[in-house]
Amino acid sequence: MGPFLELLYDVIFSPAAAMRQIAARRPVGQAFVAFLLSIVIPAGAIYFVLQATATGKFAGAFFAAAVCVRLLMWFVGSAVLQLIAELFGGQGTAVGLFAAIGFAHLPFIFAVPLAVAGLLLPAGAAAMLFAAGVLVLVFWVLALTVIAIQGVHGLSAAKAVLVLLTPLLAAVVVFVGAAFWPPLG
Amino acid sequence: MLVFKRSVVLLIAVVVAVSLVAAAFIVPGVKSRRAGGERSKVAIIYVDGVIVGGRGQAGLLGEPGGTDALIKQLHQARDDAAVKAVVLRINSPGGSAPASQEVGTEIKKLRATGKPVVASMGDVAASGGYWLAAVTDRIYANPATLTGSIGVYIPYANWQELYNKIGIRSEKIKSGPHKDILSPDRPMTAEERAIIQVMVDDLYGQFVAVVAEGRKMEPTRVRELADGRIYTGSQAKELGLVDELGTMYDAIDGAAAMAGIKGKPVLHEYGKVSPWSMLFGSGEDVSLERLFFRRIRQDVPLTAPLAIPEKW
Repeated sequence: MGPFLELLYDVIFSPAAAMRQIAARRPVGQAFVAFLLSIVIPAGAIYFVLQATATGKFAGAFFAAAVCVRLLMWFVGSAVLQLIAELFGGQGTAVGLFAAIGFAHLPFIFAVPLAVAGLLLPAGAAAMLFAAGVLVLVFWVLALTVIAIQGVHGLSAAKAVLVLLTPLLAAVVVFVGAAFWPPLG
Repeated sequence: MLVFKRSVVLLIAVVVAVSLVAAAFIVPGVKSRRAGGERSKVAIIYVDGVIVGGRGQAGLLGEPGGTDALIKQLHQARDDAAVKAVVLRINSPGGSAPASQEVGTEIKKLRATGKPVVASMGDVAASGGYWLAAVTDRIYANPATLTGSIGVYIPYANWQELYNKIGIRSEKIKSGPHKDILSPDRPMTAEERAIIQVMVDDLYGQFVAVVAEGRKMEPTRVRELADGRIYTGSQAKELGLVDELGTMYDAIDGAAAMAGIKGKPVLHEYGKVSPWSMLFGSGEDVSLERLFFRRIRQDVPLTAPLAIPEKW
């Protein structure tokens, strides 16, 4: 438990060192626990919100779906990023990246205190605070993912950002291509 | 250092755990508190300008003026459980008969859900504007409001002489003798006049039926009043076309009382546009493209309910 708590601390407060350590040790079990916490806790909060609304009967289904989809996305996303990182000259292992990305999602646990703070504010201010807070969390997780790619594969920051953005750019190209297909004329 | 790290992580864990527990208890309370706070809402829906069907024109500080937006607002008010009554603030000289009829039907559906709908007349609520007021539960007007104009006309202009003078010679290949009925480049025939008159009579009959039902009057009495003239608010009150003389806030108080709302009601105005939706356009809200680049709709005559579609 001790090293795990220290690793969690380092992921939050000194992520570069933490990701290098994760790349070297590849603690998949601990990464699984960290990832599970980062999705179960926010999904649990949403579960309570849904239960308090008319959509309460779907709360359980939402919770199960959210956990399953996120786990699948972690697995598939890590595989895709591993492939792209290797294409960019990365030397790290797939298991190392899988574990590092698992830890990179940790900031999402702060969504719950954020949501509770929002509930205590007037409706308009709550929406603004929550939107701004979620934006910060998303950027935090993206930054940690870039640091994870850097730490595992020893890539430069620019290349790590490119690794992260490549699937997105590919998706944009595919969608734009599909929109203009078949070509006119 | 290790102890410090563990302590910080444990502190974060405690904060998150407490938040999670708090979420379990606070959320239902907040929901009910917010729902409770909203229980006394009175919705205000504005009917401004000429009543035209479809999406209408985009206004700079309001939703598009067509009845599609108005109907959407009526549906929102119907579906919002916190809205207990609706005030229809009418400032309209009228518009097309089908558009008025469509909105009138939606108002009736809203009333059928048990939510009272009260009309408040502004400067003018004539013709199609009165059509909408007539289907509400109660009508408020200012003494000087212009209302009435219960009737129908279909405008027609014969510009043949002008065309001849300026050398325009229009020809048409028609699928039937009446396909270019009301065409401005030739005189109307007696047969065509009779066709149009039958249409006008039919629309007039529908208008009279709406007023008779809404105002609980005999159709013969409505026909006596509905010779197309306009009335002041105080005249309309004497004739039974209006229930109360008063301002919009009197109408709001009246709607709140009808809905059983105690104290000052919370007002919810529909049709406001956020700067965000103006810039980026979301759904039916106004967008820059619609503000600046859309063709300006031809002016619609301002008097009585019309039966002419914009594109023939």
